[in-house]
Amino acid sequence: MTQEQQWIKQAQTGDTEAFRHLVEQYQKMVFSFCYDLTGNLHDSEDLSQEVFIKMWRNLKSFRLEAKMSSWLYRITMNAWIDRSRRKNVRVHWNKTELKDETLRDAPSSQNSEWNPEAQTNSVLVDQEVKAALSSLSPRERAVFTLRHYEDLKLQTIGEQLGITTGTAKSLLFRAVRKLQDALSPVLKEQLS
Amino acid sequence: MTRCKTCEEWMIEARFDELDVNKQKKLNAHLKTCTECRTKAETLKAAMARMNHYERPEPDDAYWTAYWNKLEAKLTAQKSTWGETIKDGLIRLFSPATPMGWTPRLAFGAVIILIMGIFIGRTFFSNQQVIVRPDRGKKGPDLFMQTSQYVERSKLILLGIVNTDAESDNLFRDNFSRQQSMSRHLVNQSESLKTALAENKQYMLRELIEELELILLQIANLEAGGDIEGVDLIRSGAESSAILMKINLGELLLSRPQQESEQNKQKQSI
Repeated sequence: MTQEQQWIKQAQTGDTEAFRHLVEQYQKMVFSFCYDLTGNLHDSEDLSQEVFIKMWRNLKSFRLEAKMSSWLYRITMNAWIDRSRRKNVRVHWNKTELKDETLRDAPSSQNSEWNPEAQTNSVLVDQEVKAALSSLSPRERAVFTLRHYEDLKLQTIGEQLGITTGTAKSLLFRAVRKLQDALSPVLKEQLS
Repeated sequence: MTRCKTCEEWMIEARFDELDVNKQKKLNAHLKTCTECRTKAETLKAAMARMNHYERPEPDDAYWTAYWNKLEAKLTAQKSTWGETIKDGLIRLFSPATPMGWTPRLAFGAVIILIMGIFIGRTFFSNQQVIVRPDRGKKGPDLFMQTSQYVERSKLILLGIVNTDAESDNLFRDNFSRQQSMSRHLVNQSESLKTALAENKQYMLRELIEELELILLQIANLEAGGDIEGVDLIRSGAESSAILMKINLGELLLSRPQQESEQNKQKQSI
């Protein structure tokens, strides 16, 4: 039995310390996925904590031979769909907030030498990318980020999100087309 | 000769290493001869390269410590809700580790079964449920008939949406205009129906109409031209709320007063 399986078994009996280890193991993965879906820090924290609460509540039904990451992806996606259904949320990347957030986050990622031009350029590109992502629907965004940033195969994405591979593929096609449309002014400039 | 439209999809698959070898060969052959597709392939490559600039925030250790503290507080708050307290109490009561004889445990179990029996009896088999005052606000078909029609029509619409094959291209071509107009029509009826059901103390049916109204609104608001995401949302919403099961239960509730009214009519004619 692996260390993770031991933690799961202990957490299933109500051991919060074991549960804490599990949260620590998966918090970055869940948080990042929540960020991809919600588009801001506050909502990603909120959603990811909701996911871990659901995980705690349903842990007893989790089979040890199953993959924890798949289970968590699915819980996250369902929690997100529930949320967007309740609030009827469609666009999540508020442009003003986006700009502030990107600029606020920028210093933390600067390890290189101070280069204002490069820094500004990097912030602008990041904004373009996030604005393009904001044109996607929650499901398109989920499939695209899992495929492009997490490098998961379409079949795996389908299994993890509870959709067929065909649907995952359709969503990826739509996502890529929308992204190309959103980035087209920049791309035209770049390619010419 | 491979068509450009097919090649466009293959390009996306190829970019994500999802294309099989044979199709990859055909795609390469096509790209050698088609300038337009070659430009598209370059644009796609540039777009995906651009998307690599996406950065996720990377919170520090202090953030994660605070994160766990918040989560732990939420878990404790969850545990202190009535449901969890009762659940924990029951688990403790029936746990072999609890120092208590089996007689009090069995007595407690019997009391719970009795309470559940009373609850189920009152909810599903009580005669009070079927004593219905006439629909004060409306003339025409009686309240149950109207509710029954509403539920039946909603079920048909919902089944049509839920059973749509997301993998086939039809989803993109189809629009659900007929279902949408029917949904709008039903949504318009729902407010008066809910009021009438509440007046007649048919709270379970009122709740069902309320849930159906929400789903019908989603259907009415589907985007034209095959809103795959909207359909998926409806489908997963229907699954998570077990609405089809609730509809069946509602139909069961609705069938009783109708049968009784028919029996009464027969008695009167005799």
